[in-house]
Amino acid sequence: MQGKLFLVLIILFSCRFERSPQKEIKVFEAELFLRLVSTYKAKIVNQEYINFQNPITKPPFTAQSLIEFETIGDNGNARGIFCLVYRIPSAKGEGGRLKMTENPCGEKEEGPALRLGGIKDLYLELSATPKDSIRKGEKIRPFHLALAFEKSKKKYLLEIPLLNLSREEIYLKGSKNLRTTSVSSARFSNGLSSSYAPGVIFFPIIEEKRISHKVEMIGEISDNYPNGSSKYCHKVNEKCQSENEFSCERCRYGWFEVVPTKCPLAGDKFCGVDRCGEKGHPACFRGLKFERGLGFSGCNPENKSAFCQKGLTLVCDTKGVLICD
Amino acid sequence: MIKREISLLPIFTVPVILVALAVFFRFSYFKNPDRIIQKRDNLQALIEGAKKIKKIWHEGDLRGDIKAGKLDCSKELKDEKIVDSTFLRCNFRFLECVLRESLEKEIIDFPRNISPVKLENNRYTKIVTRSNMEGPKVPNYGVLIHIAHGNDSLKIVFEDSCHEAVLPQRVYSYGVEGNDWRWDNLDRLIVIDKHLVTNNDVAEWNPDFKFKKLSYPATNLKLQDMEKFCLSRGKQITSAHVFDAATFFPGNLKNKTPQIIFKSPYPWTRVKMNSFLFSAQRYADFVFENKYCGQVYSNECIGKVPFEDFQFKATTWLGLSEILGGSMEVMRNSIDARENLFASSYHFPITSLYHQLGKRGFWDGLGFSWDNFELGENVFGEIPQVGFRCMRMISNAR
Repeated sequence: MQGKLFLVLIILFSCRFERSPQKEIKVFEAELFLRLVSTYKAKIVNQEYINFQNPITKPPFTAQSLIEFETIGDNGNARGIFCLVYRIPSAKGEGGRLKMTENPCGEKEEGPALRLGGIKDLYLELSATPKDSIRKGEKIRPFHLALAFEKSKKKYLLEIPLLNLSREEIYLKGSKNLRTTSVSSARFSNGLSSSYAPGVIFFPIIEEKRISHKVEMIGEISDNYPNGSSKYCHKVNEKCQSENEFSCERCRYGWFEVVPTKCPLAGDKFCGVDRCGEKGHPACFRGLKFERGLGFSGCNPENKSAFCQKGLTLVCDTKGVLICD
Repeated sequence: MIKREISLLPIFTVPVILVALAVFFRFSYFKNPDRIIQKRDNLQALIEGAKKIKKIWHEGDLRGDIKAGKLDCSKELKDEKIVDSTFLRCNFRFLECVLRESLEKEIIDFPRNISPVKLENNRYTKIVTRSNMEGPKVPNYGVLIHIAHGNDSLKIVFEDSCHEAVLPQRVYSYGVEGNDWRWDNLDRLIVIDKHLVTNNDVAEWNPDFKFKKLSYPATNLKLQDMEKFCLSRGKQITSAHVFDAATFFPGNLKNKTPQIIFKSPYPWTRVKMNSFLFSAQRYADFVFENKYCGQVYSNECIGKVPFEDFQFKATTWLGLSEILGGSMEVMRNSIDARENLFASSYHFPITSLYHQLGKRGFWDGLGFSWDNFELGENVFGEIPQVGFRCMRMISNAR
């Protein structure tokens, strides 16, 4: 009797509704889709594994974080951060496993993870532009995460659309380098970022209880630069790197950029109303063509690329910003 | 002595089984995989449906369904006769009408098997801005809808992809013909509204706002309220030098840094002498004709030509409309604070020198008496009409 009871328990534990590999992959793909479809940011952890010419095989039998995804919930706010991890199979091609965890890459795993085992020869592709895939005869679909692999001697391709991802939000995790906008500056451009569906933001309603990190908006309508209430939303240093992550899209009432004095590519930015050129406010930027010889070596009232309204002069304030006085 | 073997096993059997079952449920051994796949399929269908609705949002009533009686939008458009399809593009009222009507009739291009869901404001659409919604991808201004397919649903926000123009990156010149104060946006992206802010826009922002026609420019806001409106959409009132850049006909667009910037005072031509305005402003025997109202809605046009015939036409090289004539337009001037009003309007006759690009007056922004204005010519009309448009920046590098 005891033996029979234990046998029943063992069967129950091992009986994972043994599915065919196809069904297992179909369910895995659907679960992956539901988790990642509202992605708005993709941070690449290991650049050598993305859009790589050969399948990921080295170093064997190690777990490698591939990409970190930040997603949005149905209320428009952040839903969760997911990390795609690949346990590279051994030299014999065994033990390969894809795993999707609910935490930033490199941090302690929280919550249930999504797994797909028994895979090998994984190719991972993510691109903002349509281009030839490394898988011969295929094209990379822009803003789709493509996973091609082999399982049980069959080849599979999973493509997950990342609906809210724009080109400038695909970048190397931890990088502070400035990223250029994907908005076209051509005549008759519509001013929209390049994405899966430009001008459309998707908030899928997926019934799962998940603790997400709330993204708060910045600034009040009364904020203004002269009284010190305007908050930084992007700071750039002399190496043309971001000192803090660009967050001007969280400014409630717009933002403005001051005259660049450290990096020619970009100036510091503040949330709030732009009254450049007016008394007490930052100077306006006349343009790159007017910057002469100062080499972006800091704030200088002689800077010809800045201008104010008639009757006002340029001065440097304590933040190193050219203002009008 | 009788030894009774007291087996402890039966005591632990039930709890062990319960724990085992709990583990199963915890790790979702009984989770329905078919439901997961169905949810994914439903979501895919909703995404495809959203793309079709987006096309309707962007194109408006391109087919003329309202005029043909196939769509009844009198509830949303307040019985207003819409004379230009431009107004209905990226228009939340039109989208509200389409979503409502889709429940009762078949609408061409509307996705099958997708149904709109009412939001908490008891409508099918809701304006979202960064001041009323929080999140990493909330746009400056957008329209939220909620659609359903099967047991699943999706919320979508459509941005305004119709009414803005990106100023190409090049060197520009500010001020009237002959003035060559230069600036450039070679490392900046500036986006400017194509049309003046309308009553439709302001009415949604301020429900107490009184107006006559939805599509007309909003002309009874004080400057402070105009600024607040633009700020509510993450924008600012257009700057004078940006306005000039978007209205003066540029030379060779391929040359971003021209040595000479030639400025014609009229937005539709580079050869000013061929223009009727040149003749009107110089020759005493000039004869006004109604056809001029399509380009300059001057004082002579009132009562003769409908304002709507001018409103969405007569565009500049970048697609901006309502430039010469119509209502006056206030702007921010970072170069000269006393020149913040583009005065060309129906308050002046066709012969007025204000009907030229770059020429400005001043408005203190505090009221609508002619005492609040500084203009160098005689004006017509009792109540000054001042409109505005907004602009915003896009970060070139982040």
